[in-house]
Amino acid sequence: MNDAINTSHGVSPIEDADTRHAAGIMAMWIFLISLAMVFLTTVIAYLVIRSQLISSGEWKLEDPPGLPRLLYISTFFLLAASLAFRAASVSLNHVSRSRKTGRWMLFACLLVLGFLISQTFAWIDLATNEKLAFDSSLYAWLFYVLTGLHVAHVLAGLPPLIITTRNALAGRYEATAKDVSGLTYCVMYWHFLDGVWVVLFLVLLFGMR
Amino acid sequence: MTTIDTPRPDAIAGENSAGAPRVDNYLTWTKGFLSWALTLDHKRIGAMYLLGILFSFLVGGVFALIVRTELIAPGQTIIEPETYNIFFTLHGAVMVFLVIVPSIPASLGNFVLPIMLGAKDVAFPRLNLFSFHLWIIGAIFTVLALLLGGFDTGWTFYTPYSTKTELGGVIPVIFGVFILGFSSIFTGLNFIVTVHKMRPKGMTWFRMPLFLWALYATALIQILATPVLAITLMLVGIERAFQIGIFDPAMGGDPVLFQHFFWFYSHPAVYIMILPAMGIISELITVHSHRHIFGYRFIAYSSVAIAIFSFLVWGHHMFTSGQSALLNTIFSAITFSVAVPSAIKVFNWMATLYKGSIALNTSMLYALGFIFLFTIGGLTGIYLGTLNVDVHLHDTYFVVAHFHYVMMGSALIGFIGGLHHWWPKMFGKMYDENLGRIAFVLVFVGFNVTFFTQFMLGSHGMPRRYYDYQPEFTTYHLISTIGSYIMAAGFFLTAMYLVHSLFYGRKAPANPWGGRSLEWQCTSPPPHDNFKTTPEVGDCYDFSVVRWNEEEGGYVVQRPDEDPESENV
Repeated sequence: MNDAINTSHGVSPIEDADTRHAAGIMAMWIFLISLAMVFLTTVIAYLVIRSQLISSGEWKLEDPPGLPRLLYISTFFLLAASLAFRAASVSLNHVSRSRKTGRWMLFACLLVLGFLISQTFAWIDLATNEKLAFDSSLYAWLFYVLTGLHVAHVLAGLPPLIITTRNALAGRYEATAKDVSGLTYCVMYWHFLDGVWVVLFLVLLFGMR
Repeated sequence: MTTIDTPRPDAIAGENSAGAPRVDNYLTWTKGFLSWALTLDHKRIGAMYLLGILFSFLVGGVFALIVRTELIAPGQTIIEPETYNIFFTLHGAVMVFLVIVPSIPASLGNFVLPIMLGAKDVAFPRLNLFSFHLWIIGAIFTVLALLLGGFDTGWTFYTPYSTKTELGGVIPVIFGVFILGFSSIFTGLNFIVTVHKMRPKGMTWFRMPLFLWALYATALIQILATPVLAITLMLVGIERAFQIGIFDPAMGGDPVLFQHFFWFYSHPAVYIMILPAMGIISELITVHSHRHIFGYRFIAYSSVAIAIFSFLVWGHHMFTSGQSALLNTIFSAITFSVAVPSAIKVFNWMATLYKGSIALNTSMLYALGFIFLFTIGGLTGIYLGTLNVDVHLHDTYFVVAHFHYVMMGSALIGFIGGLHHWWPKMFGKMYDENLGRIAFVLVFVGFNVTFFTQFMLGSHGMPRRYYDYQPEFTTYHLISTIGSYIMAAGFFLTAMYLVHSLFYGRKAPANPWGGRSLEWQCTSPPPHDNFKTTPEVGDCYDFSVVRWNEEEGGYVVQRPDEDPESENV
């Protein structure tokens, strides 16, 4: 019985670049699943409170405050950014096109900036709306908690985005696959933020009614 | 040869000691405060966690003793009612968030997981260090909460009281627990990736020691449940700061929603505490009875099964909260089903002991104590999971006794047992076995005197958390308090002989107990990088190749590579 497989001369997994890359991607997935639990909890809180407010009559269904149109533009910006991120990571796989990575990342940055600007105006729009003023009601608060949580994660994603974009523009990711981990993680995170936003937007869109 | 690698010259002192080559060791690898505070070595991080956790245990234990002393007689004994509320809250919060949740995974797990796996370190050493720093920051916030006026919400932070209480420590402690949550998530993430990706060739899933299966199952709960607690506490903090009413019925919010979220984390958290302890017991039972583990796959799968069940039973904390009868029934039924994987473990441990060559040393005594206490803790859980009985027992000392049997009698006793098991490996010194046995008896007897009494108190109707009580409960409270003193004596004795062993203990052999898993095949304490070469992996419970070696003063694993004929196999 060959119970003990002799691997004394093999490389330890921790010293193997490919294993490290795969481990990093797996860790990123786990991290995103953890974050997804945070958003899921918040969405459930939103829906539960909403149904309570409706049954207590505090949330008047016949006169919904409505969502600012700007949120559609925000959504567009973020979806477009996701496509740009996708293009950036695809360009990494083709060495001949790798110079494009930096440009795609820069483009994605601009789209993210667009999202942030649009989101800021949407908030201002809502805060000046009497029905959704900060201190007016619980459902106003829930809106800010839900979107605020997302914005907090967008802001947290900015430093890595700026760093990886700078690196991409400097051509750091043109080398072999093992050096691109940073960009891959960053792109994964932003895809996640995009997906979360779409879910939140749908919840707000149908939840406000 | 006792260890996998040939002795290597000490990295630092090796140059001027031309004599006998010394084996390097992680404790003396580098020196100075920063070499510890900024270390990436999982063993040092584990050792520092251990120090922090044991210190927190002392703090939480002192609070417990003060609370028990106050309860020795009805009426005011030593402290004011307000102080009492703060102290029992602190006891709970410190013990849960700073001691039991991180105890086994972060200290012992960090230390042995990579070595057991045959890896040089965890997958992300920097993240591991970051987790430890987060733990320190979380602990600092807890202390800050105490300095800023304390908090008296109970460790559960139930709303709306936690958003209304006047005491200033609520937001700092919530923030502290939030940070500790991140520490827990990152440790879990690190362990999952390490187990998936850092296994050397030959270390298949079913060759992993059962402790690793337990840590893996624990990590799954950590990454899925902890974020829920984090955002819930965030919402409580926001609510407290701005009084918006998410959890306040007066403002249209829902306090039961908080309970759902809280227990969605905190019930799985009970399994974050108990699963690693079960993993340790699986190791202790098999190593100290020198017998192959019985039902390896059943124990491994039951860990994962418990992890899955843990997410489906949180509602049994809320039978009296007004949740629907249908939900109550479902939660009750699923709660009962947790008994199945738990019993599978207990029966497999018993079958392992059967006809084993049992060494009744300290670790084994703790393991046997665990089985006894966990059985009581688990079976009384069935009473509480029964709907009509729970209505009577809810929020009484019966619940207090039950969860102390599980969280302390099982999780913490497992931790102490594991600490004795790996102490020689961690610090290279043997402790006094007889003092260990005496301390175990004190802890075991003290524990049962303290908490078995509380089953009686609870079923007679003594509510938990009360400062004062009717005279008819005095005898039970007195006995319970005396028990807590006996237990404290046991723990102080343990602390004394363990510290004593660090300075005066006999040098530990590589394999003092006859273990077969990989950590027993490197020196005690292990070298800086665990293994120079990737180790060979065999059946980690095959004790037929473990032999006592008089010269070593310990056990030796006969490996195929020592036999010249099989060298090239």
